[in-house]
Amino acid sequence: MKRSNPAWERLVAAARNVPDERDVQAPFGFATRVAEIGMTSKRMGL
Amino acid sequence: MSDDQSFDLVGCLDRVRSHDQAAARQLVEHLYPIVIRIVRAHLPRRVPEEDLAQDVFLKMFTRLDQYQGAMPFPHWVSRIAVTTCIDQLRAQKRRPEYRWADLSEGQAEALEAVTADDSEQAPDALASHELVHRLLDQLKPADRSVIQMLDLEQKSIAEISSLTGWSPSLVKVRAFRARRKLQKLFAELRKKEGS
Repeated sequence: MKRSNPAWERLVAAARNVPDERDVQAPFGFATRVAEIGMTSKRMGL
Repeated sequence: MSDDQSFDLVGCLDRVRSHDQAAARQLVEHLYPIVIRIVRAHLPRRVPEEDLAQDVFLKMFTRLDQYQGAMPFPHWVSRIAVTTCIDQLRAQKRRPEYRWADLSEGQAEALEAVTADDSEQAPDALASHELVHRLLDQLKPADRSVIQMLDLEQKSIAEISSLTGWSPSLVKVRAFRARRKLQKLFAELRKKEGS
């Protein structure tokens, strides 16, 4: 794909160097809560 | 996704279809890392990431009977996550407009470093990251997501097409439109910088 904005290319290349070190595990209670709502909705055909 | 290679996804899905709540919880835990990475990448302003992740999983449960196995299940959920984020971005009717004066000192320096013809100075990564997101926020939601995936996540046109359900041509059109808009935004910022 044609790229013609060197300033953007340089900016985005620098931005990619920022590591995302945030936790990716579900917070405590999240899965239980979402599963309960999801299953209730499913049973009720919502 | 969980590192647990022994996770029985097919068996888990069967149990979820039989309304097994414990299996539903395991499925959410298993897929959360995939979903939260997408949500964080495309997160609209002022929307808590957990709320958006919850919306994605609730859609997943609601549509589970529609899943035919044509693509791997995590990929199918990823598509739900991407489209949910784009819908949320669309729901925010107003997009911000930033002026030169709104940039932090670091962002202004990053802009200067990348736009100066003779600059060999590498822009600060964090300031560049912030500035990129300020610029992305000003794009139309679908265009923003295409550029996010293409330039920041370095996904291919085919991968984006698969994740969004848009044809490769449409992805290219959106990328072209977004790049043109970005060029305009850069020009406007530089003009304001000079004035």
